[in-house]
Amino acid sequence: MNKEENNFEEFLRSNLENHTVEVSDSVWAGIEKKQKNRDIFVWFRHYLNVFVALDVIFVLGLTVFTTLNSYEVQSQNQLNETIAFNENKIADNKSNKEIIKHTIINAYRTEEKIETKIAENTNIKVEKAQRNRKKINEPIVGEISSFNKQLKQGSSAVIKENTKQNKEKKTSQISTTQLALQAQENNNKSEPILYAFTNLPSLKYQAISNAKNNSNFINERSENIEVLSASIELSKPKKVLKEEQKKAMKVQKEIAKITAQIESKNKSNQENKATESLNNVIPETESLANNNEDAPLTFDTVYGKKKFKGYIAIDALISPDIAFSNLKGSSEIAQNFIARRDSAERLRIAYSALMRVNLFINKNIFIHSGISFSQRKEKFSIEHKWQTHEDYIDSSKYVTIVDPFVGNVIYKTYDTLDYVSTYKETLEHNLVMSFLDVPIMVGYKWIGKRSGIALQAGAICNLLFKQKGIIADYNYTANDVTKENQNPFNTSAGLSIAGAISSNFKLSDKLDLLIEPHTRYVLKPISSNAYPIQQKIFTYGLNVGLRLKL
Amino acid sequence: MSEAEIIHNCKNQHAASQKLLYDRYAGKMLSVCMRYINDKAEAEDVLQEAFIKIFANIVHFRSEGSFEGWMRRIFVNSALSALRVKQLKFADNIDNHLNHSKVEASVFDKIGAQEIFEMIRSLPNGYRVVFNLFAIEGYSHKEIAYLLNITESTSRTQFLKARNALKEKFTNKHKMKITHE
Repeated sequence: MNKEENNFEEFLRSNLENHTVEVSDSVWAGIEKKQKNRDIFVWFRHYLNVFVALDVIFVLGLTVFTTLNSYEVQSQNQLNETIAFNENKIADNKSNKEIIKHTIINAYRTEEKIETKIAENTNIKVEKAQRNRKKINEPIVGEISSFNKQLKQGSSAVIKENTKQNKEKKTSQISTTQLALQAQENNNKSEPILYAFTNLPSLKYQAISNAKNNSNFINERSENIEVLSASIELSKPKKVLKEEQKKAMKVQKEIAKITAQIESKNKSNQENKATESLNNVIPETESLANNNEDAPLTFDTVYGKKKFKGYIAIDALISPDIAFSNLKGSSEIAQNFIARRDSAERLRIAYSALMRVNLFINKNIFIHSGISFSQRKEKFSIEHKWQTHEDYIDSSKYVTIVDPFVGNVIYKTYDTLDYVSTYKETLEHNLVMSFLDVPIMVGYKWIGKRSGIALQAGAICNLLFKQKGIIADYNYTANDVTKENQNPFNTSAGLSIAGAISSNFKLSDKLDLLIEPHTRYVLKPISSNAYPIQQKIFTYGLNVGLRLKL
Repeated sequence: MSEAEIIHNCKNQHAASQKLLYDRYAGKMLSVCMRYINDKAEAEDVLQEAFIKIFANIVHFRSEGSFEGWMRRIFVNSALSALRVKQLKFADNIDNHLNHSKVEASVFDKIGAQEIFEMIRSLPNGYRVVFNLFAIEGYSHKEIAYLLNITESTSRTQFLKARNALKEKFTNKHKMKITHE
């Protein structure tokens, strides 16, 4: 039965094995079409790494370009804004000058009014004709030679008196209340004195009469005239105004020069000059812009202002390091050796050099990576002592051993001598370990005006770990690590964690000084698992170097 | 070009070799697909998808076993996926198909591959799938049970029913031939 059934199934299998059905052409066409689409995907997947690498390069490039471009545009915009601002300022100065003239005219009129009133109310004779007022913009009133913006009524002001009668110019420091008293004391003067003093935000001219024997008049007839606050700053002596105008003219010339430079073909080189020269000019313009909140920002620096977006910087650092080891022994002999080594090892010299690229994502957060070479030296010596025992037959002595109870001689022989030899050897350990690493760190930076401080942490991947020299082994032998069978170290130091506190000090717009205490801890032992001493290493150091901002 | 060379070239995504492979096996594999899926157009779709799978995964073929066997498994699995085997209904009732019918030896000589192919295709879905998997492809009932999400006993029952039904068809076909002659 089974045989028959098996035959039946075998018969079916053999018949169907080579059975074919005609396939329509559309099947292959469909396969080809789908295959092409798939090929693109496969090709893409095959070159995915290349694409990713290119993408990273592109993004980095774009970041650099955008950063530099934003600086350029920003510089151009700020330059334009500065030009416009200074032009406005110059125009303002002109209009302020008009205001001063107007004020002075008002002052004359006030003075005349006062004089008239004084004449009406007192017996003082005012002779207008005696005044020389050919030039309207040369006031005969008292001028403020200097004043403090914080000056309040009641505090002192430096007053320059310019009177017709006393042609000598007199400078005095006087309070507003003293002013009135002084006016009273000077009652022999035939002409009124017009004093000016400030009480911000308005400037007041107070006319005080030298009314003879009429102290009440001072209170009754004094007049206050408020003038525009805009003229406060420019109510300084004319000399100051002229200086400011000169400065403004100088700024304007400089700006025109810089604009021409920027528009010229050698844009990049000239832009640097423009930035420098503009930066030189800015302190002068700042005096004009001090009280104006709408004044444009000066050029962004690293410690930038509102428009900061990000930039790239290259650091070159070197560091003296102190290297430490954490040793653990898996056997008693190894532990004893470690104890002796710890007491013998004193100086742990190391150094590192690092080149890295920083990408500042914004003004605070940055990532950096680069290449680092570090070397640490281990040098110590252990004095190793040991003894050997050797027995020799002393033929000079013949020993007879007698039974103490019976008294008979048991044994007759030559004596033996035990020679103990003490040996001493100084075991030298002189090892140099070299590391080639790639650090990848993230940091956060706090920015000051000319300095900054940053905290950074990350990982260090070891690319190459090489050793050379002689190591003192736990079994008190000296091994040459360059020989493969005597080298107890791993081929790679693996991954380390690292951290640093970085301080930077601005040297110029492009250059910073970096001082960076840092630490590194290698996560896994650098010695191979089979070696009885497991050595973990960590390092403290102080990076010192320069940062070049691109 | 030898099969090994074709495979090697196909691993390198050589289009001409893929076509060669297709030409060599398409007819045979369509036959496999059509034993599971009655509708030819649907079977051709399965064939197409399965070939694309083969071209994509041929790099994983280690040349340790039969290439045709490896391909055939892909086609069968694709056909089963297309059939949505989980939704197939397998009747467990014992009917008269379980009565063992015998096929005379002379019948075997007079029935060709195409007729066998058609007879298998004429079986109900459940019978056909289990019969193909067990009798033609060589799967065990345990494997079939796992593939079709049924019990082993169901697989056995379905197979027995299918075989008896097929034998009956054989006998009837033979009788009809004799009558015609």
